[in-house]
Amino acid sequence: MTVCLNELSLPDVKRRLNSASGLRLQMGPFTTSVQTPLANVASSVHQLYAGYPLVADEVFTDFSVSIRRPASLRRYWNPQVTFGLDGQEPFNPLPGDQGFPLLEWGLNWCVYGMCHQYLILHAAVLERGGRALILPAPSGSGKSTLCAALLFHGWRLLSDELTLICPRTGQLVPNPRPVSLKNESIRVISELAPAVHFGSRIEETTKGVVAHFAAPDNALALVHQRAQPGWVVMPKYRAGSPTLLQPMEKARALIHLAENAFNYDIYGREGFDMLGRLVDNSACFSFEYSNLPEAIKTFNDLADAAQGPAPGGGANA
Amino acid sequence: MTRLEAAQGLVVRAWPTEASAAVFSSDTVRTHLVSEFAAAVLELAGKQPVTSAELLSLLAAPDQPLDSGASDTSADLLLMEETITGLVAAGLLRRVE
Repeated sequence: MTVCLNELSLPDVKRRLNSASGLRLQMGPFTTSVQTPLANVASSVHQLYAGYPLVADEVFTDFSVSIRRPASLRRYWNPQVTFGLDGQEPFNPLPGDQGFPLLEWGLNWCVYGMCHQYLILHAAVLERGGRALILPAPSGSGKSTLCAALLFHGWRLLSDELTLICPRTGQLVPNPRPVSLKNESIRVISELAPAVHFGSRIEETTKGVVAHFAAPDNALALVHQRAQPGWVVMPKYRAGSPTLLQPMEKARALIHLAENAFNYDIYGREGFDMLGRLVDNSACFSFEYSNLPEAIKTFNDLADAAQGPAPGGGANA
Repeated sequence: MTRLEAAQGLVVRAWPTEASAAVFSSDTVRTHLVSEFAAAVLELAGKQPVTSAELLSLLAAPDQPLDSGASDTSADLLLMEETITGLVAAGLLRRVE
């Protein structure tokens, strides 16, 4: 029987997070142990990972991570936080209120740095009708805003940041985690989806203001249901731009995907073939927008026009 | 006579209706976007060293889209030379003679 984090009280969550074995959660295909003595991080974990299954102590853990105060005198006048993985601290410490964003960035780093059983793209990925919409783009392109907006209009979240491709099947593997938004996007999505509950707003991070909201319930309920490639779209927000969806050459799309892959060099020729098959099975576009409702309509029209069973259908992991 | 040789492990992926192709080089583990003509050169060069005469025959081939201006041979030759220069600069081809 699956027990989720939301069945624990906040004091229970804090106690587990502060224990030697940590709080053990199933995050998509990965089992993670999180340790922290910090109350603000514990509150964010309790809120934003509420629907995630707890994992028994005897189950193998992919990552054992921690968020702690560094062991320096600085903690007494200007507290910081540091990310730990298996006892190592790979990053410089950050200001003391950035514990939860640091946990999220650290977990992303664990996935794209170590989980080479998947070809991993820096891309948001959503699903509708069994088909995946892959949005590869660098920071500042409007990818996260577009992804968040689509979540409230009929699309299922697989990931807002890391696209996992199964080498054997070419399917997209769900890895839903809290959705991270920055700066103006926080206000935009708050207005678009007033019911959404953001966690703490963290000011003055290296990315500006950052806030997260929990992965939607349907993303967690269907976490084992993979998706077939459907669309590859390179999004670009540009103030004042008309909504413009234009077909893109598959060769060009393949190059974009390769440029946005974290571990393409590890896969080499196999990665090239995988991305080739992915664009073979996808309609590829560039997309420029400034009006979010129009952007949502564009993608919903795209999905509606492609109705019918996805090639190979959705598949359980 | 110019002879060219493709880097080992070169893989070309092209789509029939598209003017560009993607080329993977296992030497550099990098992927390049090239013109369809360049892709044709690379496919040929992937099998054996290519002579300039063979490259010219590619230009003369009626199914090559870039051949549409074949009557302007000097322009085609210039385009071919620019393409080859680009492929050599990208490390996808090397001059052997």
